[in-house]
Amino acid sequence: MGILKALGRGFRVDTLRFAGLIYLVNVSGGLVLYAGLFLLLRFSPELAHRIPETGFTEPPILMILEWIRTHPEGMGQVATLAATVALFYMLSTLFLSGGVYAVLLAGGKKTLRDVFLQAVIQFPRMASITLGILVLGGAVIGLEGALLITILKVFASSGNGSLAIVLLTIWVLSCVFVLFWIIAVYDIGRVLRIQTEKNTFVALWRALGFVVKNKVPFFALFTLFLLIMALMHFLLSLLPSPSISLLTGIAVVLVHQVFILLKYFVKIAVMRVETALVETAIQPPAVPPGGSPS
Amino acid sequence: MKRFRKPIPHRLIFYGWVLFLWIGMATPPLSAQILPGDARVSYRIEAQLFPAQKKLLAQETIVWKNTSSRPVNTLVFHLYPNAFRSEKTTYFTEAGYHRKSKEELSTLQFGGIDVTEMRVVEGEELTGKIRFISPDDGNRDDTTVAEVDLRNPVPPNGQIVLKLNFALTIPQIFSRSGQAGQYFFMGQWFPKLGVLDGAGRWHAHQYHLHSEFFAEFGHYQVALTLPEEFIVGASGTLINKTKNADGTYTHVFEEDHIHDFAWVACPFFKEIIERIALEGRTQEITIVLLLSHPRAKDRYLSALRYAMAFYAKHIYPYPYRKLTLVDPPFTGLRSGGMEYPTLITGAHLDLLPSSVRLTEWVTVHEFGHQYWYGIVGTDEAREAWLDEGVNTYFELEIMEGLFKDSPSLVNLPLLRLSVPEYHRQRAFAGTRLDRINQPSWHFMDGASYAAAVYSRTATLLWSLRNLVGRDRMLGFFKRYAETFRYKHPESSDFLALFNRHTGEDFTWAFERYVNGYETLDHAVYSIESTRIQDDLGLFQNEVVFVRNQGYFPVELQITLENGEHIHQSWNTPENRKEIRFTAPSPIAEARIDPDFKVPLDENRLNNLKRRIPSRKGISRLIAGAGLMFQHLLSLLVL
Repeated sequence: MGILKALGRGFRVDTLRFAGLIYLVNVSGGLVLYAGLFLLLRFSPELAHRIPETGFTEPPILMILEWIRTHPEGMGQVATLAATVALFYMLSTLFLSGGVYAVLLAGGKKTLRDVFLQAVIQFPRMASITLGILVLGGAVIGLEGALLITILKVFASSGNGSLAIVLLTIWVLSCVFVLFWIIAVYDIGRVLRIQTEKNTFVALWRALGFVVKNKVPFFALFTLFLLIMALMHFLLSLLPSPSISLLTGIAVVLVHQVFILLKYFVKIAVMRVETALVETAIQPPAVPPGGSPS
Repeated sequence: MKRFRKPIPHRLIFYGWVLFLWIGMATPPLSAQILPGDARVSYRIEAQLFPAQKKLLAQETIVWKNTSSRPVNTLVFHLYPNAFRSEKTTYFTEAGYHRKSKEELSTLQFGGIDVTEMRVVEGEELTGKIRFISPDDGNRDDTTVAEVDLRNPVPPNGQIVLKLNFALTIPQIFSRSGQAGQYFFMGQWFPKLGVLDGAGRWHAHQYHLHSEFFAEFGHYQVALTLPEEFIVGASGTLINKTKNADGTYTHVFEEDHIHDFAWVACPFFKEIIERIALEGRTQEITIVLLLSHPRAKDRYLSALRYAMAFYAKHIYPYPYRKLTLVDPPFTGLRSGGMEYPTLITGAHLDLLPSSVRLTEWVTVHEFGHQYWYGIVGTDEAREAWLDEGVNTYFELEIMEGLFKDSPSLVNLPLLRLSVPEYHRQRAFAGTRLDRINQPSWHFMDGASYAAAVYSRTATLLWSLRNLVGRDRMLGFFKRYAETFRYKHPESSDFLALFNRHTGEDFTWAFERYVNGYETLDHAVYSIESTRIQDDLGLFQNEVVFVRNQGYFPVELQITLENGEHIHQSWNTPENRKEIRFTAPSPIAEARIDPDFKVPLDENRLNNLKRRIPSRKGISRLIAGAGLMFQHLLSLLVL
């Protein structure tokens, strides 16, 4: 299957169903934090008297800075809550990714119940692949770190500013390149682990081979993904601050929700394209070896 | 990439130079023995850099005049390169290097200065009498200050001429000075006398982690010999450049009324000479720019133009013939953001977007030092606030003018920060165990030093400026800079002139916030409005304002529910102020400092209080924070 056809399979309206599922997890995580902040801030009689209702005289970030500085214990509570929610959220998305990949491999025409059922079945595989990629990815990141230290030592001994910029730019690009490979291998490794492969490291090895063999479609897919994300964030930056007035605030929050949903849509679409590429490459032969079709 | 001829001089040249210095000791030029004009000291240095060996050999002639009322029989020198001699020096001890392992220490390139000869011209041999002292901390492993006793004391108004030979092993750049590959930044690199006050006391401090420098005004003539490919920038003005028989070049720089001399050399520089029109004359500027930073030139220049024009208008025009701005490489950034007389170092990172105004910020700050550290010449080691704090106040004025249409420090979509707000936040971050006015080596750590000396001082001065008026404040600084030009004023001089200029006694402010440990916090404590039963339509209103800490005159504003504002000043020192009045409307809210004129108030959140609580504002803050969190989560999807 060509990349264009695969893209057509990924960027379909019914991808929104899966995106909506992950979005719900995001909203749940967000709501936990909203609730925590409400408990901490909104029911504080002191702040209810202190924070201006409208027309903040200074940017909210400065009020937050002021609050952090004058309430360090409150900041600790918020940070702990945010970290816990983020961890739970990542585990939830990992859990759901198994179900989504399995359902996509089965043609995508399944119910949400099937997604959850498959998520439960596939979770150990997803977890093992994630651990595997953390080990391998960690090693690669360690190598990048060592490379950076070597580059800095070269600068220190040469003092050449031009060389410094060139080498640092190359290093940043190599980090992006490495990240691309890690994400691609992780995604394909999960697909292969669900589809056929029982061994995690073999799945990752085969995924690496697959990505190498299909590097052009993968590069095109990830470039498209980055461009769409950059465009979405640019559009988001044009929105006004939610603190201007109540109505504007509500409208801005709603628009942000649509953007967040669309980001998940793009992510699931990419997963779907990857699945299509794998399916094409590892299709069973038309005539089984050693026999005729029944 | 352009290849340069390796600057390795023949070994014979190296030893030949040693021989030349030895011969030079025997025949001092007469011109070096005359102290020009009103100079209190003059330095004449001839130095040659050997880049491959990371060595420098030099001959120095010092003419010094005893301006005190007592005979002087001891001379005190700074030998600052010795700060980097071993991990046991005061600098490295304060920086925690003594806790590093042997393996870590073995990778460091230490350095230091050896005074191989010192004697009085046609007189006493002093080399063997050099004695290291540690006036600040008693550290015997620190050799950054030395003294020598003279057989014949120098009488009041008498002069002495000294000849010195010294060899420098140039360390890597740990702090401000040293080498990084082929980049050499030479600050505090030669034996330099301390400052003798009128009572005959020497002021000379060891090289500390945080403190900067103090020296006597004088005349400098420095001849630097380097390989051809090195571009050189230095304090003063280039008066001669000659090619030598061995292919090296000698650059001679000279300047009057300066108290230090720094220089830089690197093959990867480009020298750009610009002229700026200032108050009816043209000022020459040299930018020693890295070849890889072509985009930095315009940013450096626009910041310098604005800063020089600001000082020319409000203080007086920059008085020296030339200013040199050095653009350090990434590997030499530890020499960046630093001031020397007529030479400053910037800080430019090509990878940062221009909406982060680092280049302009550092340039404006370092140029300002030309006045407070440079021309006024306060003691940066003992009373750093007089230079760094005053200069940071001017940094606020200039950056707010230079970027008047957008936040002056960072203008990114998610972070918009002005320079005054940055300093205000830093001023109050962390604990406040250090007062502003204390020797720099007494501060708990670097963060505390920076918060107090730079940011808290500037925040206090900004508050005082709003109290006395901007014109009066700038008028004071003009008078201060004129009165104490080349005179080394102290904190007491600053305060006395401030009181005299403003016609008010501000001792309370300096005693509380500069010499003392106080902080300032106002709060609206309570609001009450009660309907008066007998007189329909009227309310008995009461607001209580408190000062949790400190004292500073401040404006109060009470807003009634009918939109009427009531203003009052609170400029008496009691800690509580109650305002009671009858009005046809109850109080909606009370604010302290509604126009935000007292940034010294460290907690702004309690400066407002509404009578009836409302959670709308909090809801909006929560919505903003929650949205940011949701977006963050969307990036963490697995």
